Amino acid sequence: MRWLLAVIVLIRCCGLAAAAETAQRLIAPDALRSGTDYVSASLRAQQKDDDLNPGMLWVDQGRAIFERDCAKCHAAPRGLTVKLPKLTDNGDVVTLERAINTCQTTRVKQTAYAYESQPLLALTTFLAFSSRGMTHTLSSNVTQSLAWVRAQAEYTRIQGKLDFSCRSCHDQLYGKRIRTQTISQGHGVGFPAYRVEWQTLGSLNRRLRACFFGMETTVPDASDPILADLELYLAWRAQGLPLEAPAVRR
Amino acid sequence: MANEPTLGRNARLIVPPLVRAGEEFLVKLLIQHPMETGFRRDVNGDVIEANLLESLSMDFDGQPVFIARTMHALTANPFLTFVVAVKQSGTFSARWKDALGNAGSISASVRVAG
Repeated sequence: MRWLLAVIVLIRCCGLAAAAETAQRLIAPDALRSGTDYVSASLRAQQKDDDLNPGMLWVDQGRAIFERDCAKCHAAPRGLTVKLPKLTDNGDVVTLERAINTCQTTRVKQTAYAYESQPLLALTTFLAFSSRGMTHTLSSNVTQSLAWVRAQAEYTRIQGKLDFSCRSCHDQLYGKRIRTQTISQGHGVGFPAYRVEWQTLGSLNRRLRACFFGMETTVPDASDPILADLELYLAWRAQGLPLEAPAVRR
Repeated sequence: MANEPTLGRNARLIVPPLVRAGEEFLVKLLIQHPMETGFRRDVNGDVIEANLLESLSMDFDGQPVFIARTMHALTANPFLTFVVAVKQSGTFSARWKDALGNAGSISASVRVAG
C-alpha cells in the first residue's frame, strides 16, 4: 500500500513538473525577435520612419479621439496598454479593444465601436503607439488561468488541411522559409499594424483570423473569445519584447 | 512646434520647420485613401466599387507647385515627396478629390530664415 502511495505521489510530482514545464516559454528571452526582424529592409525602413509609416495616419486620428473622449479620466496615454490583455475576476480576457468599448459604453456613454471600425482602430493604434518601447507586464498568475490553458491548447492543436499548429511554425521553425516568406516567431507586439496585403491597418484580432485562414481551417468570428484568449497567450509569449505599434507588415 | 506634422483629418503634410531662401528641401505628403481599383471583390464575391483619387494638386501661397493626375497604379494610402525651394515664408496647401466626390485638403507652413 505504501509503495502504491509513493508511486502516486511520484506521478503527481511529475505531473506538476510537467505542468510547470508547459508554462515555460519555448523561445528563450534573449532569442525573442519581433516580426520586424522577419520583414524586408524596405518595410523595416517604412516602419522606422514616422513620416513614411502609414499607420501614423491612424495615430493622428486616435490622438484627436483620445483628447476628446478619454483625456478627462486618463491624464496620459502612455502605459495604458501594457497591462492588457488582462483577466477579469471571472476569468474573461479584456483586450485593448474590449477595454476601450467598456469605457465607451459606461463613461463616454456612447454605443460600442465595431471591430475594425475606423475610430476603434485609430484609438487602439494611438494607445499602442503611446506605449512604444514599453513591454507587456502581465499578472504573474496568468498561466494558471483557464483562458491561458484554452489558448495554449488552441495554439498547439494541429488543425486545418495543412496539418499545422501555430506552434509547428512559430515556436519551432521561425527564421526558416515557407515558400517565399520567412516564418516569424508570431508575436503581436507590432499590432495594430499596417499590413501591405490588406492595404490598410488592422488589429491583432484580424491578423489572428488571417492566420486561421492561412492554415485552411475554420476562421472564428471577430468576437469569438478564443481570439481574446490567444491575444493573452501571445502577450505572455512576447513578454520582454518592446511594443512597436504601428508596425508595417507584408 | 513648427516641425510637428500638421494634423489633418486624413493626411499628413510634413515640411522642415525652417529653411534658407532658395535652398532645396523635401516635402512629404501621406494621404489616407483606399485607392480601390474596382478589380477586387469582397467576401461575398461582389465587386468593390472603384474609388481612386483623381486629382491632386499642391500650391505654395496660391502659386501652383504641381498638379497630378493620380491613377490606379498608385498604392492605397499614397505617399508622395517632392523637392522644392522657396524665396519667402509661406504655406503649402494640398488638395485632392476622389471618384466618389470626396475632397480633402491639408496645409503646412514653412519659414524662411533671415
